[in-house]
Amino acid sequence: MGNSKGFVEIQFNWIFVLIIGGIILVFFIGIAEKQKSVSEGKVSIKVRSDIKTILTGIRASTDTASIIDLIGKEISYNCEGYSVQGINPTQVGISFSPSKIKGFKVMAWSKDWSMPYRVSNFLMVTSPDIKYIIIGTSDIARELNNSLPPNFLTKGNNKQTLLNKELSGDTNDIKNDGNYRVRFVFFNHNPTGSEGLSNINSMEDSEVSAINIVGNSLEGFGELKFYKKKGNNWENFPHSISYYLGKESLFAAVFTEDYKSYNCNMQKAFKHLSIVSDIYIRRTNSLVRSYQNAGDTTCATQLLLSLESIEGIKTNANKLVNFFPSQPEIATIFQRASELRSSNDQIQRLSCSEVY
Amino acid sequence: MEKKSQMKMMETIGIMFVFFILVTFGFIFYAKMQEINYQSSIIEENERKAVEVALRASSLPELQCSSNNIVTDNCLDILKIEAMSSIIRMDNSLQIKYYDSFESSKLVVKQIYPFSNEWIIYQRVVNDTGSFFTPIPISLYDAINNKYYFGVLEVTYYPIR
Repeated sequence: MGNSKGFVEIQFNWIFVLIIGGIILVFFIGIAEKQKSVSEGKVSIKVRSDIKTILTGIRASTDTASIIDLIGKEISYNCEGYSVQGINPTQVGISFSPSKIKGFKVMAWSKDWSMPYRVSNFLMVTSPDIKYIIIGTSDIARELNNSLPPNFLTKGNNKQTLLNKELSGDTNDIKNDGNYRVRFVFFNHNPTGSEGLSNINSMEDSEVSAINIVGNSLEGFGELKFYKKKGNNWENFPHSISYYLGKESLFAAVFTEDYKSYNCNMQKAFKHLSIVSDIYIRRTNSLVRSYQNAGDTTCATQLLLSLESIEGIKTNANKLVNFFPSQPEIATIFQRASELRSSNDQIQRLSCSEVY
Repeated sequence: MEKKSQMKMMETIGIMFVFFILVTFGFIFYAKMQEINYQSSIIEENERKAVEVALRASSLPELQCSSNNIVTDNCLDILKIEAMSSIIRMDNSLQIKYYDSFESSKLVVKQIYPFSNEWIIYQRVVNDTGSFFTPIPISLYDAINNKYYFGVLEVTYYPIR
């Protein structure tokens, strides 16, 4: 009887130790798991916040290309902004990017968009692991290749890839270098069939895209057609025709694989153009009044001519805020901007206060 | 025999009790440390946001001086300041648009020399329980008289709690 009681007691002790030990173990594992997800979230928020600070700094200075070190977190991009692991997107103004940026480095390039006065800095963000292939031997293809940031950035003995770009005369020469995304840039040529895809057929459809730039000069305006790979062939995005106005928006289209993101950011740019134009209208009106009060009709007349051009830019920019892409308004803004440029030169020659 | 078992049980419960008290103390200490770290990271984050807002404000094409589209550094055009200030004041939708850039803050341009003047460019204060103040010395261009004055762009950032 005594032996049996002792046996039950020992058994009970072990079961007790097992249950309590199990509870303690589960408790600590739970805490560790929670801590892991919290710190991952914290890292993502920190990366997102760092990205915003760095990109704000780059955006504030014009014509700057820089490399940013990341910790290998994937960045998603759409018109709402940049987000890390699905955390609230962060806005850094008017910026253009591929939909996914992977790797440990990010290239950020800022260019100022002027129409003809400075409107805003466009920020282009991409990964050095994405390959940009400019197809063609035309002057415009060469000019684009030379206008984009260089392939490498050298600091002392340290040489790192800034932008993975290549100018290729023949689509058959294209090799698969193991990049996670490839973007083709065609000029005045619609990619058809499997053109340029023979060596990169193994890549996922979402990883290969193309743009056809229809225009004869980087400056000015022109048409953009967006394509994506579907199986072994190129497919045109339905309703994907858009427009560029000024070379900065053409660069932007090269870096934005999705035409919806491009159009959305261009709408933001036109909204900004409308606001800046409004400021210039008020400024020019003040100058006209002061010249009229001083009896200087030469300067006042020339400034009134400029005022018409600015008003034309503002009216058409307002239309594009909601209806971009639309070619007639783009053409009118370009024409008005050219008129304003000439008018401002004339104002400068007359030693009057410049419009911009 | 039963008393001995009860004693053993009490002893085990006692050990468990002390163990859990120690664990609780550990957690309280850890939570306190985390709270201190969180507070300092919030301050750091707000300081960073204040600098971002100041940087954005000082590089606004809407305000910068230019000659044939060449920007003059650290210079704001008085006619542009007046225009922007009145546009934002009149149009509430623009306050919302600029909120993306300036968040909860106040941007004031103060002319100091040769005479005093002041323009409020943007003001949207969501929470006035603390602020970060960044003064940026600038020159102010008067296009009508073709003269430069001295002033300060004052950026006050109010963190949202």
